[in-house]
Amino acid sequence: MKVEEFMTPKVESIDADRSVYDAIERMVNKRLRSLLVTPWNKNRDDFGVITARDIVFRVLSKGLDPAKVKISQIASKPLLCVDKDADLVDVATLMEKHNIARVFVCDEKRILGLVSLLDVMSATIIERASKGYAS
Amino acid sequence: MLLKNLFAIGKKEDLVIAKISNQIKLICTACESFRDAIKNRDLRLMHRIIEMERDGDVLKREIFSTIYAGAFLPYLRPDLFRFVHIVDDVFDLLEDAAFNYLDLTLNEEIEFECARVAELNLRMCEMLSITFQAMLNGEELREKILAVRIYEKKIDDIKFEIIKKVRTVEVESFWEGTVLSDFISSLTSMSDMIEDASDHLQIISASLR
Amino acid sequence: MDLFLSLLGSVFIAFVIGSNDTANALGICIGCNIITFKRAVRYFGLLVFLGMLLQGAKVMKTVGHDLLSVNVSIVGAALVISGLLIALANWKRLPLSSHQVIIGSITGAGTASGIPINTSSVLKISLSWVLSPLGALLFAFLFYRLMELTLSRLPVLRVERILRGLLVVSGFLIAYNTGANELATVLGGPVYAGLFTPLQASIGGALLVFLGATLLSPRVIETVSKGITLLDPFSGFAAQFGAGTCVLLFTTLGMPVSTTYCVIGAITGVGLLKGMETVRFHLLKKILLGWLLAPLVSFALGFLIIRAIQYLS
Repeated sequence: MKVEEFMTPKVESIDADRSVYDAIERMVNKRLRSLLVTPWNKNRDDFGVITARDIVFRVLSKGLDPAKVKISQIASKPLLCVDKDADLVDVATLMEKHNIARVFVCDEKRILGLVSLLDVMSATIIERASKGYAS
Repeated sequence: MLLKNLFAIGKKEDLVIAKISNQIKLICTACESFRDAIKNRDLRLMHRIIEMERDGDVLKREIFSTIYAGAFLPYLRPDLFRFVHIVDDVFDLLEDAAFNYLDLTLNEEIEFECARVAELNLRMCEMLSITFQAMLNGEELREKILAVRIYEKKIDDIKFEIIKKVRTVEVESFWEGTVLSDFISSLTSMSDMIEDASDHLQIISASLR
Repeated sequence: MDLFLSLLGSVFIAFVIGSNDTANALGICIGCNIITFKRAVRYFGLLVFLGMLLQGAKVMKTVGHDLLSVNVSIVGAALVISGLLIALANWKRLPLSSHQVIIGSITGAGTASGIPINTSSVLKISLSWVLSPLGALLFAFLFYRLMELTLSRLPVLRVERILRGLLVVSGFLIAYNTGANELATVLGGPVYAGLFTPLQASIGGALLVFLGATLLSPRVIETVSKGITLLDPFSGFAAQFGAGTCVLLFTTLGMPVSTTYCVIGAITGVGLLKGMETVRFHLLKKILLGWLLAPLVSFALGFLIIRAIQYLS
């Protein structure tokens, strides 16, 4: 199965300039575990990502005030991308290698979507269920 | 002569199975048309779906009358009836959605999500077809039913998003709002029924064990 | 007079077998549209004839010869009493074994007539009556297990198709037994009393059975098939086939046994597989009572009638 088929096409993003608190607010409202971080300087095209892990481990566990920390201070860069034609197994291997729970699907510097661990598991079941049957 | 009796009677059952397969194929085709119609804003294609629903009705009646004429042992009949009924109900929902769509103009964001739901509905129907074939072959259905459930959960998530977004849409009249609400309701309820249908295949499959 | 009564009794009972036992054999198949009523009745008649012709000899010999030397009066009295008891049981909707009443009344009439009864025969027959339901229980149990091991692996719809075929097979087996055992029990007496040849009995008996089936069985079948939801086709087939096999076994040994009681035993066997709670013990107690009383009552009646005739003449 191609990654394009089981990714989430809409990716929520947040500006790097904003506070971690804003990120928390957005994540809680939209039930997300990560946000794409858009560069404050739109000419630069290196995006980043901020995850729930980043927030909890690097800010909250250290007792820091999330309202006072900028996203750009804790976001991870650069983004880990896969091609839209990538295979399930390739994606899973990449996730395992870098110990990450999500991967972005990119196409020549345009972000097409997001693939999470759950997406990989679901896609595996669907691929197995469809095996042997023409779709 | 007796063997011929038994063969002839096997024919009714084969007929029912063939017609149920056709019914499922038809709903898949209809879902595909629906998805294409939304993507391309093709109203003529939407009209086609309404015609397909009538074909589905005819199929349903044919299946029922063949079963009533004595196909299958009595213990199996109620479950088969129920399954065919549920698939027909899915068709009715699709027809409602198609009908409502003709009266609507969706904003781009909601249209995108609705197209996603339509795509997933199609995938669900295809998986239902696979599950039915698997049942005929005596295969284990657990994985396929899980696959159907996965799609249903995805649609549920999108449904939540659509409902939130739709609240921000301005409507000019009560009827415009109702049509929009009915459209979204029909579109997003199909998945629950398809899941129900696949559960029923599990019931039929387990009915002897 | 005796001749007339013997003939009357035989005709009546053969007719009743046709009207009642068609449902036992083929009721399920007809109710499930596996076979049409007309075809079922034709096959039933044919199979009864074949059963009687091919394997009826042993049971006829046991009833009409080994048990005691029959004569026309004994046969006449026995068949009339049996006919009346069977009619009464039908009317009151009680299960009754025609074998038991026939053998009971023949023995009673024979005893009253002073004819020596072969006690070892009586013992063998009584033992068969005890063992056959138990044997059916065991057979049904085994068949059920066998089916579980083989059929459960197949796709549902294939199993359903196989079951339909199997139901016809078991129905035919019961029909065959009706000729080989039940009809043979009825006509054993008349044949050995010199009233007909075995071939005449086979043809005539089967014809009467066919008539009874054509004319009167539809209502019985309707009652039977209304109750058919075949909630558990596995059990249904295992029970019927288990009972049928058991009866065939005893027929080969020449012992007259009741299919009805074998089916009850078989159903109990399958019920036990599902747990003791599913077996309705209070119902079984009632059935057991009937099973004990029937031969005793018919013996008494046979005895009394002959004594009455002797007293009057």
